[in-house]
Amino acid sequence: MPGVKYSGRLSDAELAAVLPPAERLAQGPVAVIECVQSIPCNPCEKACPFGAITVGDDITALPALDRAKCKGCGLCISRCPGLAIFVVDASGDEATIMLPYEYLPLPAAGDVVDALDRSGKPAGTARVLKVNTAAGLEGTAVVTLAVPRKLADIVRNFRPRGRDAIYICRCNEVSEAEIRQAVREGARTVAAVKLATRAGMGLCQGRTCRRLVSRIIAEETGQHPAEVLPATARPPVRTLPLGTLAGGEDDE
Amino acid sequence: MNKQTFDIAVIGGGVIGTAVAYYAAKAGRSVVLLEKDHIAAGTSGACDGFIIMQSKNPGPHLELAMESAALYRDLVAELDYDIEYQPKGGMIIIENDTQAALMQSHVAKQAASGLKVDILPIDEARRRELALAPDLWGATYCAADAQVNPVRLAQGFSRAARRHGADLRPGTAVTGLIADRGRVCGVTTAAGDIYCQYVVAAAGIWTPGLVRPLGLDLPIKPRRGQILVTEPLPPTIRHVLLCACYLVAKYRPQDLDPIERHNRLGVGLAVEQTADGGLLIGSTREFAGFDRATTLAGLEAVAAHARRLLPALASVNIIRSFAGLRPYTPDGLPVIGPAADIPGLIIAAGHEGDGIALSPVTGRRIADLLK
Amino acid sequence: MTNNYDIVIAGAGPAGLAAAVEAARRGARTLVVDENTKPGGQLFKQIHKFFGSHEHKAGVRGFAIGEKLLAEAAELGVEVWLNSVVWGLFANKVAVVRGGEQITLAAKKIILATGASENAVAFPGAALPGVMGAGAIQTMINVHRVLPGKRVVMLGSGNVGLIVAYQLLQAGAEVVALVEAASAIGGYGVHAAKIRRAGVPILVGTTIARAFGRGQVEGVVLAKLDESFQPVPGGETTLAIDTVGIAVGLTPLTELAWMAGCQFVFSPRLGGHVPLHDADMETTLSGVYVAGDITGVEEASTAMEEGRLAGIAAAAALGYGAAAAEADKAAVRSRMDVLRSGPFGLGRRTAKAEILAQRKEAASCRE
Repeated sequence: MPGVKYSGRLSDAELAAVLPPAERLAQGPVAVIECVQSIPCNPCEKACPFGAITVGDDITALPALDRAKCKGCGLCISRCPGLAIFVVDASGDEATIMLPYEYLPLPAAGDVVDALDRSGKPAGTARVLKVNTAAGLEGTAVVTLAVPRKLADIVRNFRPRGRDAIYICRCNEVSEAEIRQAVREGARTVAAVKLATRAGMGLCQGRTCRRLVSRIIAEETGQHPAEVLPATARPPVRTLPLGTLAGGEDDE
Repeated sequence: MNKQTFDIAVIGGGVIGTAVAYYAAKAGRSVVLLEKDHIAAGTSGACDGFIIMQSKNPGPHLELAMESAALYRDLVAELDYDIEYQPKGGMIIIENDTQAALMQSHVAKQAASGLKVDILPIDEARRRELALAPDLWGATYCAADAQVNPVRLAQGFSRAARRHGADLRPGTAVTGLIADRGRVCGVTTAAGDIYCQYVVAAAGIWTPGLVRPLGLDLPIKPRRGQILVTEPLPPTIRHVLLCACYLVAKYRPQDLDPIERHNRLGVGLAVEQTADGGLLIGSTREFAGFDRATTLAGLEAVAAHARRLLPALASVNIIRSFAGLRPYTPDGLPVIGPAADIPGLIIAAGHEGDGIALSPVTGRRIADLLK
Repeated sequence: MTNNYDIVIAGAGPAGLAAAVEAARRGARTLVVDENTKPGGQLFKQIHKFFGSHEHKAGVRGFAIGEKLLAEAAELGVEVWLNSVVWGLFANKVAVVRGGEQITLAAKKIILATGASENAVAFPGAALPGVMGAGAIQTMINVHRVLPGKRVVMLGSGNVGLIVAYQLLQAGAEVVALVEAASAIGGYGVHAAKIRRAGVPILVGTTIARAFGRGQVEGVVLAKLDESFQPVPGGETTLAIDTVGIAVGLTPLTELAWMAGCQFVFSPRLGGHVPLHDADMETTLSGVYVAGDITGVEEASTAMEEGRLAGIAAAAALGYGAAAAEADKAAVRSRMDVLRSGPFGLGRRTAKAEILAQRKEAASCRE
């Protein structure tokens, strides 16, 4: 038997009742409330500052969403105890999905993660755009993923690739994804990437990672490797104790 | 084709420029931010993160700082970006009776301005900050002092400004200001002219060069601060730490013996432990033009001074040094507001060592001014 | 003790020592500073015989060349500070930490012979313990006599990868495979043949897709690559190993030259940005010379010749051995040209010639 009652996954019929029409999806972000059982519960109603969600006096009623009023702000996402609310935006070249996430470690903006469907099966690759952990979310992080448009109605979870991350700067544990993200956000020199990500600021002062960082910058920006200069060299080129640098005692 | 007409063009992508862009964009103005290099490439990327109240002179300086401190508490939530804000409190280390006398009068004036600062004898000071040398006089303590990561602050301001619609253009150098019948109405860049109602010059040490062609002579000049960076350490320094000679160097340079090396280089201790565990240990205060190199004498002097006040740091490894060029002004106060006789031009520069502490209030005041 | 030297040399590898020997032989007061506990740089882990001609000490093993250089240096009164770190250059002052003490040396001439560092690679699991540079492996087995592991896969088929794979076999490890992303072996065929006939598969057109293991590398997944270096579907193989050697080239260690303010030039053939220098190995900063891998990654034999050039030139600039200097330098240069010949050496010779040409251009621009 299909349906959330038997498999935990909403059936196509159940989905049809909650998914927004394609025209609405194309207009910009909108909430998708995947709540199809009469549970006594109504925090979503209060969560919406625009009055787009109505449950009514009988709190076992299913939430009704007025999609014309919904701005896709996502304030309802963390308020749903069932983690059943998502905000989907399919108005751009790629779709974004805001979803609730309660696992540690949290991903970071820029991470590339495996997008999962409602059955937990890999559905493709997603990029984490934003991780909102504000105090008002009561511990439920709201993560925004970018996914290919055709996955807008499919992706409802993700799995970090933490164990598979490619570390470029080992001293400060900066991943390849973080460096690429920084370059895409405008850091076009080794010095700028260093400031933005701390890659190369650790104990080895970039001796291990600078070549890899330069290569990523060249790849991302189309610059010739010759143009990607190393960050400014400053002493000390090897660590030395502060007391040694200070010289003889009371030498001030 | 990029849009080339805005309400406000901000020049400079440091903490001041990005703060102005953020508050102005948030207030609904259309803003373009022009940065010749990248965000925090200049002084904001080469300084410590002190938000320290008790170093400010009672009067307008302290009032601005206190207003800024209040804004910081809101920014942590508003920016939706971890700026590594740590309200850890600050201490000013007092070495001897002479400094104690200066600090006592300073603290009394601050109390009158509404800032609570305690004077702690050395035993009590060492209970709170274990690394202090036992033979010092003591320290002041102020709970309102805090710390932030300046690079992340500038990034946080610029990201939030972008969310409010600001157009950020790193890699865009302003080559000149456009004036029409005496009124500044735009800027020239390699990527074309940009027109606006107001130009905010927030380019720190580069500001005088920008406005000089209009006949405005700003008394801002680069003052170099050399800083040592240590390996990451477990929690070692609990507060933001200054020494009283920093204040003497800043407000009463005539009291210093010019022969001593650390006085000649203007060395005053400034130590903080950053979120990743490394210590930033500063700093010299020297006039060296636009040279951002660190010098052997400067690094040795900073290390020697730090070891004297914090002997426990002698065995800590230094992994890097850097120098920032702070925008010094002769009276120690920043230049904030409309340029006299040049309508359309607003200056927000010359914060020297207070840029981090004063960036929110500077941005906010400028945005209010341009409403 | 006075800390005023005619010539201070950073690095006691083949280039630094050779420079010191030539400078001291001509009468210059010379000091060599090295951060390691032993002098000789990489020479003492080179247990294989060198190539070249008789003049280049061909057929002599690297460590024996090192011993001879050291003996010469000692005989000529070269001072060598070991366990001493050059941590900064400030104009003509060399800042050194030695025995827990900061010492500032005033030098009339400075020769930077700091060598190169191994390149890192980025694949998932590359930061696991057990994944290490081939040079590090060589130090472990040949200097410290410790095997890093029992089953090794080596990435990179340049001479370093081939030689270290061979030395691992000599040391008793099993080399499960040597993999190379390019379609052909990069190093000398004779080195490759040595390991091939010991049963080591050499897999060209292959790379390490990822390494895995709990707290320590336990295996790698190899991926077959097509001509555009993209993984071929279904071309994955898993190997159980405990050590991965990384031999994907070296990068000149140039921080001191950047700090001093030398002009640089980019040379992919030589490993990246290298200081611009003239035929006497002098950089764009008067009195600052470079020699060895800092000027572009080559071999110990060329490093020694460059060191000799720099040593002769720096000494002559101070008036030591000036009369014979031009003839002495010419002899070194012609030996160097021989080393930079043939299909393996010509690329480097061309790259070096380009550096000299650019240096001339930079000089004429200034005049």
